Amino acid sequence: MSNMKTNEEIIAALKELFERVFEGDLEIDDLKEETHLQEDLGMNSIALLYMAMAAEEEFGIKFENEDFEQMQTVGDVVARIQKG
Amino acid sequence: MSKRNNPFRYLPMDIGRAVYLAANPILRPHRRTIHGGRIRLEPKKGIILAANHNGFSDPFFLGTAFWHRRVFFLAAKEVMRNPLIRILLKGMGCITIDREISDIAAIRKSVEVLKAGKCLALFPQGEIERSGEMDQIKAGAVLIALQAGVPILPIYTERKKWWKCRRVIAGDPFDCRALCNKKFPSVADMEELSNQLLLKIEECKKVYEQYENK
Repeated sequence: MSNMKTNEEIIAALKELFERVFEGDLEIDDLKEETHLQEDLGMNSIALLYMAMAAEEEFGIKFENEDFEQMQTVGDVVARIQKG
Repeated sequence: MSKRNNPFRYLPMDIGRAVYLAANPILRPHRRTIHGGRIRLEPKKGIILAANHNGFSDPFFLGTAFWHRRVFFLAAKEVMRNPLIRILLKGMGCITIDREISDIAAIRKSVEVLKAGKCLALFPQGEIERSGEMDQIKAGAVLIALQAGVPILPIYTERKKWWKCRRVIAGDPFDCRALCNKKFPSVADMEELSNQLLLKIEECKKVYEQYENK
């Protein structure tokens, strides 16, 4: 399912997901691939976990612990989703 | 034979339960709800036992108090450093969690256990606090409860010398889904629910202190 989407489509879907999960607590109007999850969006470990679990349902993928080490930016999340 | 169909997959855990049962006349856990009644766990229904954590003996004591159910424990990976202890604890149903990272595998395993109708015991403080004070708790318990769709039973207990009767006070089951009416609770909702869970455990602590002061 994720391979059929472009990066822009995935970022748009992530933006909707963030709005749902973080309810306006994050500055996501200008969400880009370079946006840093912790430094720019202020996500803590629980927020990252919750985002990952919501993304698993949304995109039909399964994150592993090792994925979190490489996921620093929105672009990293998009790349991981594209990987399937 | 797959792991799921193996009739002996819970044998180490059931041997552990026999040890817990044998420990009951020695440790004599005094189990009560905040209303003074007996603590009853519905059989074959998933539930999280969320207790304060003020000593290394807490998991063993909780296992003794709730020996009649198969209780899985969420344990920090540091506890599993010794290979023999790791084998023993894994056999007893411990799920290891790495507190330094976003351990999605541990969360997923915990949710799986709960959806299978088992009990999961955890210590939401995330570390031992010997003073008994609970300033804040981590939102992990609420996250797991929301994902699994199970209630949380708030529990308070304190360390005592092993020959003294130790009380376990449980509050009313805390249903996160019912308290948060949204289909997708936000992170802010989870933090608010965690604060409410902390208050519930504090309520159990007050009842505990009333018993102790009698």
